[in-house]
Amino acid sequence: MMAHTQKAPRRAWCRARDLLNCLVHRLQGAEPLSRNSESPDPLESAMRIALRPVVPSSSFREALRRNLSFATQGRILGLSVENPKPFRQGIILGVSAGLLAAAIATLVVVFRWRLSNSEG
Amino acid sequence: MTDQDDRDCIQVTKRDPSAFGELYERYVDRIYNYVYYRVSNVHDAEDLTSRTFYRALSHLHTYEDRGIPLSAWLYRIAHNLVANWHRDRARRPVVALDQLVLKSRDSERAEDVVESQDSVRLLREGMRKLDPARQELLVLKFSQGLSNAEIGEIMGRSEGAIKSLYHRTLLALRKELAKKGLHIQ
Repeated sequence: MMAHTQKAPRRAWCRARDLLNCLVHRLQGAEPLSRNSESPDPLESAMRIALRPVVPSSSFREALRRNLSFATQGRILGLSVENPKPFRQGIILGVSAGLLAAAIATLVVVFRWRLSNSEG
Repeated sequence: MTDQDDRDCIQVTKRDPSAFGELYERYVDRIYNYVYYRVSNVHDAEDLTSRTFYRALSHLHTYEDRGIPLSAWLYRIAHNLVANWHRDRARRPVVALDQLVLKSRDSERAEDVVESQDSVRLLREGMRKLDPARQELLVLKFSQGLSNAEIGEIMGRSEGAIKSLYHRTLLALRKELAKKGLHIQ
């Protein structure tokens, strides 16, 4: 909350400064908003390359199309089909890790117990 | 693809949900592209794209044509999911951006500027330092190739406000890049 209230004036200041820069730029005759397409801003050209369109993998597209088709069929039948929540995956992984750790611990205890028995 | 086509498709889909596949095919690439550049990794982009379409499917009956195109509605769903994703991950370390191989060059001047993967990385990192609205604007403008009016419909602002925000965004981006030693004039 404290950090939020501290950020607000700084943000307002930044906006005011940006606006001022914009005005100065325009008054100097640069007219940044009316640049024609024949001489594109190098930054704009660079951004166009940096953010060039990407497409999803065909396997993802196909899998999602299939799942959505299944979901729509479910809706027709009155079923509710949801996208699996990622936390479920986390729970499964967590439980598996826990079980693995418990199994290892049991083996260690048994091994040490047998070792101490054989020494005794 | 016109808005009228979308309207027709929505009417059909409301009566017959199995027609949703048509809308999916029309928009999956655009939504994925948008989400990808907002989250910067393939795994989460796929997850959030899936959620966008599941949510669209389950809320399609509530969609009413009030002058907002279907694409803007889908982008808003995606935007909300991305915002939630960023909120959830606010306390976690930033995930490295996927390394992409450049395949296209826009112009000779741009070629001079973006010489290597490193420049692209710096540009994207600079973009990620901007506030979310500015990042969204850059993605919609450069990756999606939308006009200021279209961006305004998605972001709920006027065309003039987008124009002004765009100019401020470029100034802010230049500053961020200058901090990283990348000067683009």
